[in-house]
Amino acid sequence: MSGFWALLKRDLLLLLRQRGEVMHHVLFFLLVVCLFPLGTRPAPDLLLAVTPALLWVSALLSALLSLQRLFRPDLEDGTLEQLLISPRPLAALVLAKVGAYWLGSGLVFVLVGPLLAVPLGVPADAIPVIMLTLLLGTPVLGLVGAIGVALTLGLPRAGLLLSLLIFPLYVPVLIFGAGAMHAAITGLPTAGPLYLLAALLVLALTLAPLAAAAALRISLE
Amino acid sequence: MLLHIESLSCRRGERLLFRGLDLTLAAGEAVQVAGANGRGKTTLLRTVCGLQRPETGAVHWRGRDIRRDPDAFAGNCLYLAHENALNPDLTARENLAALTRVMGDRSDAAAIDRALADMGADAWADLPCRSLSAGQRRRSALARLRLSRAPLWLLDEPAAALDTDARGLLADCIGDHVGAGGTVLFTTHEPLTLPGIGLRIVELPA
Repeated sequence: MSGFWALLKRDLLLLLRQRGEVMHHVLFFLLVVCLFPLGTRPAPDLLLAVTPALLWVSALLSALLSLQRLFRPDLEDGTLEQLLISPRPLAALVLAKVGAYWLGSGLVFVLVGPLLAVPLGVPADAIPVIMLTLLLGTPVLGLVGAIGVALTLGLPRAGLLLSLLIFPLYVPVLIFGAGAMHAAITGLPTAGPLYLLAALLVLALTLAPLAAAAALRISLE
Repeated sequence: MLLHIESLSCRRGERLLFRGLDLTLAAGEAVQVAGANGRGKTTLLRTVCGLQRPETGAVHWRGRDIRRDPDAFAGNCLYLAHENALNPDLTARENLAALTRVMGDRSDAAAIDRALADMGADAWADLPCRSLSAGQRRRSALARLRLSRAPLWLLDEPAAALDTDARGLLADCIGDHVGAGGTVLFTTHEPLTLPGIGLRIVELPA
């Protein structure tokens, strides 16, 4: 496990050094959500109806923008090859990298989500559920994204292929994430979609690091 | 016999680089792989450390095929590639601390300090690697040699960008490792005189 913690610590230190880049991706998330109401009619019911979709689509697009940060710098400076031949289980190292990545993106979304939701007219008692859906859903974006990035690592112009590859896999998160938010806003029971989101997270946590590790080995051959 | 390479052929993309390479390395032996640019020296080292699948043939470590039994091989090799494995936004010290811990090498702060000093890299160890010259980065990366616990070293152009002084330090490192019963397989285009070691040079077969 010491390899896991060492790599997590290194990547968190890198997040701190590369604050500008991290801020860029969070700012993207903020701007999409802030600009959207300016393009619609100023009708509260309309905004409230699209808020769940708006939050999730912004999070998905921002993830797509920032996912290349996950493995590409390590590929370029040769660190990734070292991780592949290290005696540690590669899946654990992948999990450390995704964990650090999530702390710098998904967790920030969880924290700023309420700040965005309240001005959009979301009732205060729905805020905890909104945070909870983001907390359960955003790690899935990172974990599933890691598989896509690992698969396309060896390709030039990987961005386009990456979006085609992982957006279909993001659809369940979008549906259940937005579904839970909708239910919370309209005062319906939210347990169903939240349990499904949690199940997706458990599934991604168990399988995605293994899949991404295998994909990395193929990509670097 | 630590490392045994058996009728190995390697391919890069569509091109067959070499075929039928047989090579056996015992403990306490240093072997230089010779060949012009593009002949497959890097591919050979990558194949030996398990990053690449051989086209035909196999690599055996202590009598076991490294592809079939990767767990028995993991942690036994130190691979120093063209790239230094140093993140440009971290200092050499931070890079080494993370890398040695992940690789299972000696990773305490005192050992890293000593290794950096041995390579004459302690003066810039706290600057971000982005601001270092190619030679300074190489020296910092070579400090890993002093921290490694692996018996097998695979060094790809370790002397690239080094001055004469640093080449001497590198030769000392290799000498100490071989003297202690380690095995080194390396490529180099720079002249590297290893003190008191019988160096074997192997040409890659076409």
